[in-house]
Amino acid sequence: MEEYKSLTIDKEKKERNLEEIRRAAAAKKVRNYPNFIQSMLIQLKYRPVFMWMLEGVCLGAAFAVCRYFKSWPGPELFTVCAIFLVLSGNIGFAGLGRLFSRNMAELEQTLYLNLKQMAAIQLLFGGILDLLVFGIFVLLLGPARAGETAVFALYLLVPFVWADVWILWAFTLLRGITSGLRQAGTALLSAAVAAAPYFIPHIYDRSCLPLWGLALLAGGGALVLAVKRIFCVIEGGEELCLS
Amino acid sequence: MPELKLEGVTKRFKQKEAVKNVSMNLTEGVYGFLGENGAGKTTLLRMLCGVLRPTEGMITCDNVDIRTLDGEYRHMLGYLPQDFGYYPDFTAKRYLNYLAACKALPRETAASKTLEYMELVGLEEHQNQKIKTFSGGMLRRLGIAQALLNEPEILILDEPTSGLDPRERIRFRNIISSLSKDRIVILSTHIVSDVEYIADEIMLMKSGRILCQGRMDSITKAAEGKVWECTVSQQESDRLNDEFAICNLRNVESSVHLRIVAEKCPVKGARPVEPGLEDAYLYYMGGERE
Repeated sequence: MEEYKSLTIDKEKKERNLEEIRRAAAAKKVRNYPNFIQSMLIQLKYRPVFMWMLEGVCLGAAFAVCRYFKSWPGPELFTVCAIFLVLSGNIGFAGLGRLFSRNMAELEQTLYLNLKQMAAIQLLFGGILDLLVFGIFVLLLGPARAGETAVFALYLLVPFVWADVWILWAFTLLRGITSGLRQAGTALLSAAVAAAPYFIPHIYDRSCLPLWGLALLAGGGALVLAVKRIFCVIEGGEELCLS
Repeated sequence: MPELKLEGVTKRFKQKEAVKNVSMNLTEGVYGFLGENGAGKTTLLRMLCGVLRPTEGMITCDNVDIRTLDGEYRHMLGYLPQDFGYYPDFTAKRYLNYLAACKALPRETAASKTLEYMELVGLEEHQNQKIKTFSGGMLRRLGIAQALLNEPEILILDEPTSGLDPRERIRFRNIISSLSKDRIVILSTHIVSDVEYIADEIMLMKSGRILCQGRMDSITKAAEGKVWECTVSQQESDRLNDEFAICNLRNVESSVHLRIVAEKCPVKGARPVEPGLEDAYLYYMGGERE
């Protein structure tokens, strides 16, 4: 015990060492690692105002469609709703298209929150809008046609899924074209895809339901491949660069 | 201080080999990639940034593949692409704030860093202006500011002075020189003066390969005794122009003053002069010297 009482602290040396530690700590770079929610909030925060407005208009218009078209005959109603859903899909994917426009893709791929993550978040945002519109139609118009809610949902989903496949392919296939023209082109073509069943005789007959089911499965598979392709294009990098 | 290592890096596109078997070590300092259009500089820089994947070979940072490092590598990276993109409806401030957020800068420091780098590149007065109204030079300065936002340890600039006037070029050179301590700065250009004054090491690239690499004095040394000056008639000047690489041509009254790169004395009366980097560049590009 006597030995311990004789220990003295060299205060100068202590201060020097503390100062050394303070300098080393200050020189260390503190890195921030945002999680997925924070990354999503970043993307939400910097969305252009006009996109929010457009999506708001889209949702309002969906309610208007339900109100004014609900008394229309089946095939016509299915077609109008399918075209509307497909066009709202175009709007929903505008955020994704924006990432690939204006030569931003190459730069965004080098950021901490990189293009792959941004694309995943934008796909999620687009999907949410589509789900909302789809839900509005199915819940407000489906029950009106007794026992046909699930069938109604199927008639909407099939053209929607195939139109989305086309939209996702168009992002990378048509990069050389001005984004406004590209969006207009994809919207027109996807609306045509949605309207196509109307011109096929008896397509809305019950006997054709298995066909619709198969088309939905095939479309789902194609959509998964289209989404996978977007991420492969990003990984490869060649199609991100303008030159 | 990270160390970048390129080992046998090759990039092949469908019909073309854009980068051929490039190997080098990059540590603290300014590295200038000099070469003509199509030499492979941009492709090499894109691979260094992780935008493109090498067909063969590997790029490592502190002995770890940059693809494996993923986000950790991008945390250290600042990049100015040759084709610099922006959202035209954004103001300069909003654009930098957006990129600061995407670079995972903490919110407390993002705003101050945005302002700091806008001041550094002389854009603070235009911070609330929409980017679509910017001139080419202003856009380039904005691009430089965004590359510096996260104070990257690895700064990669592809044709950074493109569109800048001479005063802006000098300003840019001074900025890069001041920031090169404790940093790897890689810039690619086909303008010799961009690298002449600031690069610690220069790489001359042609057809995907590094023709030579080293400090400026070692590169210019290879062209010693190969650079000549003479004053000749217009007719003689036309003949020499067809036969040799002419560095500089200046009309002086009825004669023409020429600076020529040639293995041997090109014309009687020509005197050898000290080569500059531009002379060495022409010397290497005229035929392959390794």
